Amino acid sequence: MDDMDTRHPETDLIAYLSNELGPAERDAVARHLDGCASCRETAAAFRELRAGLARSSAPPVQWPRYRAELRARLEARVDRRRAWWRHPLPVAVSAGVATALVTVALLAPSAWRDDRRPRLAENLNGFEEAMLGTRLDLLREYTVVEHLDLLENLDVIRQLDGLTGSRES
Amino acid sequence: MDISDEALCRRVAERDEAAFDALVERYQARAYRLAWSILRDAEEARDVSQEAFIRLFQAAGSFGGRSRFSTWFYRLLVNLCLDQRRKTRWWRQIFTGADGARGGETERGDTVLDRQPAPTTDPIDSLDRERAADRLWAAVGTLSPQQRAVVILQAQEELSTKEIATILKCSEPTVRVHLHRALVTLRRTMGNG
Repeated sequence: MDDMDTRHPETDLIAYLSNELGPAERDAVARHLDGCASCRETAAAFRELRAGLARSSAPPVQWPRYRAELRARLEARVDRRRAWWRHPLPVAVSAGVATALVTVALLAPSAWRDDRRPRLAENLNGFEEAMLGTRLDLLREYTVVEHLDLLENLDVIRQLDGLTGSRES
Repeated sequence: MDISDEALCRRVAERDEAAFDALVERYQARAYRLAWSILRDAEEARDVSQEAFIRLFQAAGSFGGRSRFSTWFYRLLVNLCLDQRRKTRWWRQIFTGADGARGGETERGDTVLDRQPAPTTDPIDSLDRERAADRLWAAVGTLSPQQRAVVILQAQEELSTKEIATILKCSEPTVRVHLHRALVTLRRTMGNG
């Protein structure tokens, strides 16, 4: 007894219904169908389903309108592609500007940092000079200050401002 | 004598617009019907089938002639349909909710609108026949996109297993398994099995 006589064909049944089996396999499936009511029912149901699917149709379409839409879409797509080649100058200018912007964006921060350092130093020096300037009067009395003993000459220290004023006057 | 599809495609590769128009006229109904059968949405089917023609125009030069033009074009179209299904699946699930009630290998992303049957254009169809077709297409809506594509390519376009395998980039046994499972599911859903 052939294996096909006992085993249900399943996928072979699909190939059988599509006439895609070789002669030997086809005969085996046919023999099985002769002796198997269940598979005969399945085969009939499959045939009916396929016929039903072949009959069914999609919602109707206005074909001239369909083609007009297609033509418009295609032209829009082609135009978009051609635009690059039709207008090379604006594209080149845009690309140049973009490159320049990127370059500036990349280089500007480091240049700014380099530029800031001397300015800060200049500003700091100016500040220090101003502070020193406020103390010039004291430096004029440097010889007095130099010989001061903090405890013994406390009164002199207290009167330094007066001393400066009296000398100026 | 009619020019073959393959010859027209070669002319399209040379930007022959008349050849393109001829191919569109030959394939527009089949392309739209196939897209509709997989997507179950008229608007999407029109959009995707038109996109397939645009891709055909752009990529006609890559048609090597090793397979039939129809196989090459259907492959383009079915891939676009399956991509479209994948793209829209997430929002379909949001609007329909993830119900597993349909069981088995059914797809769970169809809206109620999707499951509406295709209106028949044949005036002599009886009401019973219409209802049967409605139920059948509702059942098709429960199949996975791959199963749907296989069953439609086979039943509607009458393509061989080998051609379907080429279109879907899978083996012939895989196509037969898809087809068998799809028909078993349809039979069960229709209440015949």
